[in-house]
Amino acid sequence: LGVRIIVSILLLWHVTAVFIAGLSVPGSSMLAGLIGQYYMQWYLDALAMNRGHHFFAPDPPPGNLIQYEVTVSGREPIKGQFPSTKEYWPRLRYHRYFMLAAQAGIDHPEERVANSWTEKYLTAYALHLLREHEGERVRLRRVIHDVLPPPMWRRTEEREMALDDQRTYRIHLEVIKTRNDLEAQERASQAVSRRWTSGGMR
Amino acid sequence: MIRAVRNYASDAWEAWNDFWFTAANPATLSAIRVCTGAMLFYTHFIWSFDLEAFFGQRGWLPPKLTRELEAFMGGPDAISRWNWSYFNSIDSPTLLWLVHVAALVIFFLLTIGLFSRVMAVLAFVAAVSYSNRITPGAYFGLDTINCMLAMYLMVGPCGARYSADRLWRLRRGAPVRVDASVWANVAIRLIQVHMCVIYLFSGIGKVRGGSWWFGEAAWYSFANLEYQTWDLTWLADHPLLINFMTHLTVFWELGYAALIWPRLTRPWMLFLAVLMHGGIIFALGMPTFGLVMLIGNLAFVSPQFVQKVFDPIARRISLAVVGGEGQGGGAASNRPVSPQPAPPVGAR
Repeated sequence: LGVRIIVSILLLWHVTAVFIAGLSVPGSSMLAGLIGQYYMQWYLDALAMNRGHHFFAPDPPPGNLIQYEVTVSGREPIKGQFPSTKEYWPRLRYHRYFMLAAQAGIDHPEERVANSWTEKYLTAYALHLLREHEGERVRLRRVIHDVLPPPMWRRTEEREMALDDQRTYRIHLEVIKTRNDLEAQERASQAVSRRWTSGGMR
Repeated sequence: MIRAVRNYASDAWEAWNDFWFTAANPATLSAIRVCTGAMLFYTHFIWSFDLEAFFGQRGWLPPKLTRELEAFMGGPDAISRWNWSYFNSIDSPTLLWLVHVAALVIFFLLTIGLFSRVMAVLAFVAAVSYSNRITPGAYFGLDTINCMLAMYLMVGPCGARYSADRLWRLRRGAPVRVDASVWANVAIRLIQVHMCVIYLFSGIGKVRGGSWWFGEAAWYSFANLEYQTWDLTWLADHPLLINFMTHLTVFWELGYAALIWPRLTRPWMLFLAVLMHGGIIFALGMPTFGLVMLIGNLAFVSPQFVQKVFDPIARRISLAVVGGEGQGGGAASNRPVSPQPAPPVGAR
C-alpha cells in the first residue's frame, strides 16, 4: 500500500503538471503563469512538456515565406525562398523550413518588441546564408501571405482575386547583412568561447 | 456525516485504484512502441538532410539566440530554463554526425524492441534533445507528441510483445503467455490522460479565436497555400459545409476528454479522430503530425483489437525467427493475457 500511495502522489503531481502545461502558455492568467512558469517550470522544461497545445489557435495562421538574394563575387546572385516544395523534400523537411519562416514572427503584444526579435532571427538566417554561399552581401525578408476568405465572404474588390494574388503578400521585415557583419559575429563568438575556455566568465 | 465522507473517500480510492492499478494486457503499449519507434526513426532521419544547418553552432538557429528568446518568453518572473539538449555542447561536425547516427540506431532498436526499456529511456533523451535544440525556431506539434510518447514508453513494459526482446525470451524457453502488467496500465492511462489534456486545450485555444467561432477556420486552414497539399478550395461553394467542419473540429476537441471514456461514444470519437487527422495528413501537408496523433489515440484501442491486427504479423516473424509458437502466435497465444492477476505495484 505504501508504494501505491507514493506512486499515486507522483501520478497526481504529473497529471497536474500535464494540465498546467496546457494552461500556462503565454497569454494565460497570472495564477496559471505563476505555477507553470515558476513552481513547476523545472519539471515541465525537463520533460519537454512546456510548449502548449494551441494547434491552429486562436486562429489559423497566415502563410509565411523567407525570400533572399545572396551576392557572391564573380557569380550571378543566388535567389531563393523557403519553404519551397521544389527545393525541400520530403514534406517533413519542407515543414521544418516552413516553421523557420513562421517562428521568426514572434508573438508579443508590443509590435516593437516582436519586431526586434524577428530581426534577430532574420539576421541569424542571413548570416547563415552568407556563410553557406560564401557571399558578400545578403538581402533577406520575411513575407506574410494572407489567406483570402471564400469568394462569397470577400469584399467586392477582392472577389476575383486568386489565393496567390500578389496583393495577398506583404513584406513584414527586411534585413541586409554583409561579409563584415558575418566576420564581426564570428570574432565575437570566438572571443566568448575563448573567455569560456579560459574560465573568464565562470 | 462522517460515515458518508468516509464512504465517499473509500469509493474514490477504489476508483483511483481501478483506474491506475488494474493490471492490463501490454499489447496496446507494445503496439504504441512499434509505431512510436518507427515515427521517431523517420522524423529524425529527415534531419540528416540538414543536420549541421539546424543543429550546428553556426546554423540557422544559433543556440544563444534560441535560449535568449526562450528566457524572454518565460517572462521576468521565470526562473532559469531547464530546456536541456546535448546538442548545445556539440561543436564538432564529426561528433554531431556520430550522435545523430547513434540516435537513429536507438530509434530503430526501439522499433524492433531490442532492449526495449533501455532504448525507451535513450529515445526519450534523444528526442527531447532534438526538440529543445530547435525551439523556438523549427519545432512543431510533432516534436511535442514524439517526446510525450517516448516518455510514457519508459513507464511500462513496452517490449512485452511484438519485440526482439520477446523473441529472445521465447528462444530461451520462456512461456508463450504474456502476463498482464500494472505498469502497462499506468503507461496507457498516462497517454490517455495526456491526450485528453492536449485536445482540451487545443479546443479551448480555438474558442478564443474569431474564425473558429464564426465557422470560417476550416477554410483558412486548407486555403493556406503554404500548408495545402490537397486542394479543397472547391468547398468555397459550400459555406455551410465549411461552418460544419469548423464547428465539428472544435466540439470534437472540447468533447474528447469526456466522450472518449464511455464505451458507447468511444468508437465515434476515434472515428472522428481518424477523420480529423486524416484531413491533416492528406490536405494540410503534415502526414507525420497527423500520424503521431493517431498513434496517441491508439492508447484508447483495446488490447484485444490490437492483437487482432498485430498478432498475425508477429506470428509470421516469430515463426521465421523462432520456428514455433511465437509473439502471440499459436494456440497458446489466443489466451490474450495471464488469467492470474498481476502483483500490485511495488511487489515486482
